[in-house]
Amino acid sequence: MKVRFNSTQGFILALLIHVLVVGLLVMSSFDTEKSIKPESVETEPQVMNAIVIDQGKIKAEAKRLEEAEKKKQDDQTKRKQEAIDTERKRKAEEKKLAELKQQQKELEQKRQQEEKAHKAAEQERVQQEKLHLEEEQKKQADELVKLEAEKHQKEQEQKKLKEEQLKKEALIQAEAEKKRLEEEAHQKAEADKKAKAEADAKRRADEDQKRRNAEMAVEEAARAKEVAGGFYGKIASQVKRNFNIRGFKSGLKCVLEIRMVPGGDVISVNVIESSGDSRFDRAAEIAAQKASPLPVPDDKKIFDQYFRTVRFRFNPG
Amino acid sequence: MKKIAQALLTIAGLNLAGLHLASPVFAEEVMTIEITEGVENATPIAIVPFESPEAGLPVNISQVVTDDLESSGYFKTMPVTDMPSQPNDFKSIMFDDWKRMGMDNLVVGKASETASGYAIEFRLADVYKGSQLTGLRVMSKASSLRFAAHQISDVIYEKLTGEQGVFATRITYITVKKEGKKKRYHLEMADADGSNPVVLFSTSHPIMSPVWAPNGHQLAYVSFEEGNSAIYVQNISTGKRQMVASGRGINSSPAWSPDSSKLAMTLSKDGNPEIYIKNIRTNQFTRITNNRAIDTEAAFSPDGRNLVFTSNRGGSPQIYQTPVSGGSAQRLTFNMGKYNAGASYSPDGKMLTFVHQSNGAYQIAVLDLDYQQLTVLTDARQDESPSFAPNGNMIIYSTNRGHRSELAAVSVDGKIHKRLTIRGSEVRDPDWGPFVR
Repeated sequence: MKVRFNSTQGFILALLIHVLVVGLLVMSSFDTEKSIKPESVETEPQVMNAIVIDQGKIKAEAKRLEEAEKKKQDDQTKRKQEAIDTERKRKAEEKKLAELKQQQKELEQKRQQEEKAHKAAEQERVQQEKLHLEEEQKKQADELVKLEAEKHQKEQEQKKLKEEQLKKEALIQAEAEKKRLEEEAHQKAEADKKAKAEADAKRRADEDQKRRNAEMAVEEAARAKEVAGGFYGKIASQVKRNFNIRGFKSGLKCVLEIRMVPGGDVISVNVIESSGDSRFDRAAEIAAQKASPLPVPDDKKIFDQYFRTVRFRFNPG
Repeated sequence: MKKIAQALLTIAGLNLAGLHLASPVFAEEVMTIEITEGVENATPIAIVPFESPEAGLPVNISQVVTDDLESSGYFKTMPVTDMPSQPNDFKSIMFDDWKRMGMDNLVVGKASETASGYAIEFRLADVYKGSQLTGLRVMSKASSLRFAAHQISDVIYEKLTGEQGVFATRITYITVKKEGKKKRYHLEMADADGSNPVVLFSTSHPIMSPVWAPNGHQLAYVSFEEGNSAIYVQNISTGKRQMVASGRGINSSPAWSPDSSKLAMTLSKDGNPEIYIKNIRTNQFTRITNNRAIDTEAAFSPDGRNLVFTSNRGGSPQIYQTPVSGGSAQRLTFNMGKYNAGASYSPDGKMLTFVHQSNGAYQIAVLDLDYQQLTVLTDARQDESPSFAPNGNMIIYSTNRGHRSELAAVSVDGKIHKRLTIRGSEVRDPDWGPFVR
């Protein structure tokens, strides 16, 4: 940057010098233009100058020139008249102009020499600058190369580092994955173990429950029998109270089968083993009928199992 | 737990062996409950008033039946006022109403007039089964309506007790009626309940010990009408009398053989009162006893092979038994007090009834010959002349109440006592006649 700035500075300086020189030349030409007829050859520097000066001014100048031309044509006649008058003046002025031309030519030569020298110097300087710039550029390039190298190296390093990092990360990841897998496996094992334990526990609980149920069923059955037994006792006493054995010989016995509905109402009585004495059988039947409703448990299950149908063996001895 | 339950069941008198089988399966199990006891109650029976002809009946039949059954002691009859309804035929019976009242048996019937008298129809219903146990149509003359009622009672009794009824049997006895200063002795016969008395023979001399021939047609008795005692046999329907023993001394205590062909009796024609058997057809006497003590009051066993009699050969009056075919007599009453006399067999031959003295009172007792079990059935001071009913369930006897003597009956188990209302200042020497064929 700094290098470029220096080169630009030099360039601007050279430009300024050119402008200054051209400016001086323009100033002098303006002076002459007012007095002399513009010539196409002579206008060359003007054109050159026009490059330097502002384009707007050139346009204005052109316009002005157009107007002046028009005026000149208008005045042409006038001037033809005047030309003779001025011929003499012109010859004098031509002389003066030649002198001026000489002067200008010398000045131009001097200026060209100076400019040549300046240009050489400038060229030298530019060369120098260029060299310098090249050096700088080279240096810069070297620097760049170096930087590039460094950058490359750095990048390489970074890449390497990154690779290492990646490798490391991969390793870590692998490690982590392994660990995760292990963990998973462990967890799975744990879960399996837990599941198995739970399943075992559940199975044991189920078995326990089953056993308990079975035990309960047995207990229930035992309880039902106990309950049933108690009610059988009550039924027996109630039937006995209604069993009129007066006048019967000893040794008679019969078996009845009765059917009851919940609540103990006897709905049917059948002699399934006769005593051989129809009166004895009937006394038994009447006992069962009269004892109705018989005391039975409210528990429907027990009733259904033990009381829907009951047999009585009448054997008063 | 099971032990306790078992113990409870044992206490309850049950044998629930099936309960040992601990089956958790709730299938219906048919258990057998043992009923090892019963009660001895009168059997409930309701005799609904019979439908009568518009003109009415000379005898209230349903009332007679009710009284018969009630008097037997085996029945508890329902008062008419307690009856839920009074049906007269089987199809009108609302069994549930009677069931609710605890009624086991129900009798319904009706009497209607016929050309020769009445037709009585009745049905005995089993209330719990809603079925008919028995039914009968009895034709009767107006004069025998009461007996027809007793026949109905017998049918019901037999159906329900298994024993033949004795309501339509008759009794014979002696009444003494005062006519001014004199006494008049009557040989009478009546229905078993003492109703319908009929005089068969009457005399101003004492008569005693009438006994009914097993064939039902004859009576034998002792009469003093000739001055001395004599034994007569009288045909009931013809009234024809025959003197069968009138020897010197005592002629007493006639007793029929089961076939009604022979009479056992006490005669002292040979000096000492001994037991003889007289064949009525052949007029032959057979001496059964020969002992220096008094042997008297003989009675045949139902099989006719043995005689029981009273003898004081052991020092006090006791009951002996001797074979009719000859042989030595055996004493039957040991350790049963100082006085046991006037025995007779029960119809089944397993028991004797006689007068037993205890604590100075003469009472009616029965002796179970198999078990040597003496049971005193009465508790008055002076009871005499016991006689089994033909079904063996009751014993009729005479009992002295103050200066009067009357008839009473007691069941062989001693549970039923009844008094027969028979007119007369003195009613004694009853004998229960056989079943009427």
